Amino acid sequence: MGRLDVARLRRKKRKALRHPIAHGILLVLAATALAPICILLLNSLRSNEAISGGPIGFPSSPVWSNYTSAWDTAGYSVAFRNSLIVSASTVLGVCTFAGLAAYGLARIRVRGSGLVLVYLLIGLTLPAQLFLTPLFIAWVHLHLNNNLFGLIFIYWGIYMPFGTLLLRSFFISLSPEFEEAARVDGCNELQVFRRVVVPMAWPALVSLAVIIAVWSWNEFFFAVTFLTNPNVQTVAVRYYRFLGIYSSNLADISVGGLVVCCVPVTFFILLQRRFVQGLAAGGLKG
Amino acid sequence: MGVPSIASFVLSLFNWNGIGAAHFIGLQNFRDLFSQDPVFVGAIVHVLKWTAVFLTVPVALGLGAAVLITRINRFQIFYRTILYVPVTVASVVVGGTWAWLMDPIAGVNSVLQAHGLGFMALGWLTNPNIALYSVMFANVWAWWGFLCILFLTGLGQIDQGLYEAARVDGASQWTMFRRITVPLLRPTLVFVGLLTTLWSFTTFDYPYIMTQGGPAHASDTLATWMYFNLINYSSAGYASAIAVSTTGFLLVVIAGYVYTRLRGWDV
Repeated sequence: MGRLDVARLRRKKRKALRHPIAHGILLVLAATALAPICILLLNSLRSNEAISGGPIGFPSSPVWSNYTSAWDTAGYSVAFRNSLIVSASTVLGVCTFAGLAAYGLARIRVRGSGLVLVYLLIGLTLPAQLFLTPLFIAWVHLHLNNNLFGLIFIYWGIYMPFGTLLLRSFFISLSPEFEEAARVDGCNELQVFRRVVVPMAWPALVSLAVIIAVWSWNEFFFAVTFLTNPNVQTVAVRYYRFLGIYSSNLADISVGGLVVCCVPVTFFILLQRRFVQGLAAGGLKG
Repeated sequence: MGVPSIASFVLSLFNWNGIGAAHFIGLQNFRDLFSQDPVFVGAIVHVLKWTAVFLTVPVALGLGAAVLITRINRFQIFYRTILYVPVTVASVVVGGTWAWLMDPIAGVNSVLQAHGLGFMALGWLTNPNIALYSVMFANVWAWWGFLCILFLTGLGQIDQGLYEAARVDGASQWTMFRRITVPLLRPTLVFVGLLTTLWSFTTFDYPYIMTQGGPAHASDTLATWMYFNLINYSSAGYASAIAVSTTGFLLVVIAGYVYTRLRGWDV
């Protein structure tokens, strides 16, 4: 055996050894990442007595009625509908307004657009707490607390900077030739935007939509402040209130946890490439 | 957003409960905060500890896992998907589930006791000395997968030829990590550092959900203390003063970052 073969053999051996260790560590990390969710899944099928007897365990006989009781009596059906309304409206609003604003910022040369960019960056970094107090007082006086639109309006405001910066960086990377061609063919600006820009920007728009959907679904700080009436609460707030009121009803709490995380986790697993690309682009360039 | 932010600055100068008449009291709120409010001072210490932990633990976990994932040749997508799942779970569910698992009687403690490990069954959220760290643990669990994905994106942009060349020159794995990976990941690392600092100073969800800032304010942060002042004690002016102070701290951090860049250090 020549020296080269020995070296190759040694490298092969090292590779074969290194991989199991890497896989082992990663498997442990992956198990830690999934463990609490698995515990929720298992507990959602156990009776309250069984859970208080031991927090971790397999359901001896699955109690499917936990799901119906959480859905109906614990009010998750109403909360689920509210969350759907809030998330869908937030996504639609942010995509529309951020899309128009980003297109303007990327294409139209006007004085002051640099200032708008700085303003958006400041908006991205300012802590939400800074405007909570005045917002809270204003919303109480305008009767916009305990109102889904009041919350949606806030979400539009807080997610706009991220959305605009993300879409702007994408629009800049597009070639303006298509838009010019459409203009020559007699389209007005809005038609150019709708017929040419939006179809080309579709991947970025989908990324933004997925990210905003997950964020607004999971948002807690503003939701818990502004939604105290059970009829308008989103699933996140509903779950939080439920933790406090029915702390002994562990089965319903587990089901509630699953109801809250089912939508974002499904969204992520189905559209993970878009999700990660959008976060990386918007975050790293923003 | 600009209007309420400025309103916050103005409000912080008043003694106001949000409904009745507001009294202008100048900087009295700030004087009270820094000299007569041990909870506020404690909250500053807590967010500094929070920043220190979050600048190290999740970054090390994320970077370590990202490097391991680039080494293996199969199941890469499987791992990056699984590790990211906790990031998409709502903070209420993460906080609620961990708070329940850390319950002094029910949670993991009952499992530990059943297996003769009773000495490890601590009052995770009831002991003032460890409550803050227990809350951090839950938040790290939900957070580090995000950093892992960011690092993976950064690692993917590194030219593999550099590693080949280093290997030919006989560099060890550790040397390659230190001399190639870390310097080329620097933009991502700086971004993560800045983001971590900004978010640590304003952290709210986990302390609020898991401990309500307790026991005895042992896990209060600037955000939870502001929130309790606004909602539970109806002191809008005082709450605004806390929010303005938080923003002030953040401006110092950002100014420091901009200053080092202007000095020509390419961080």
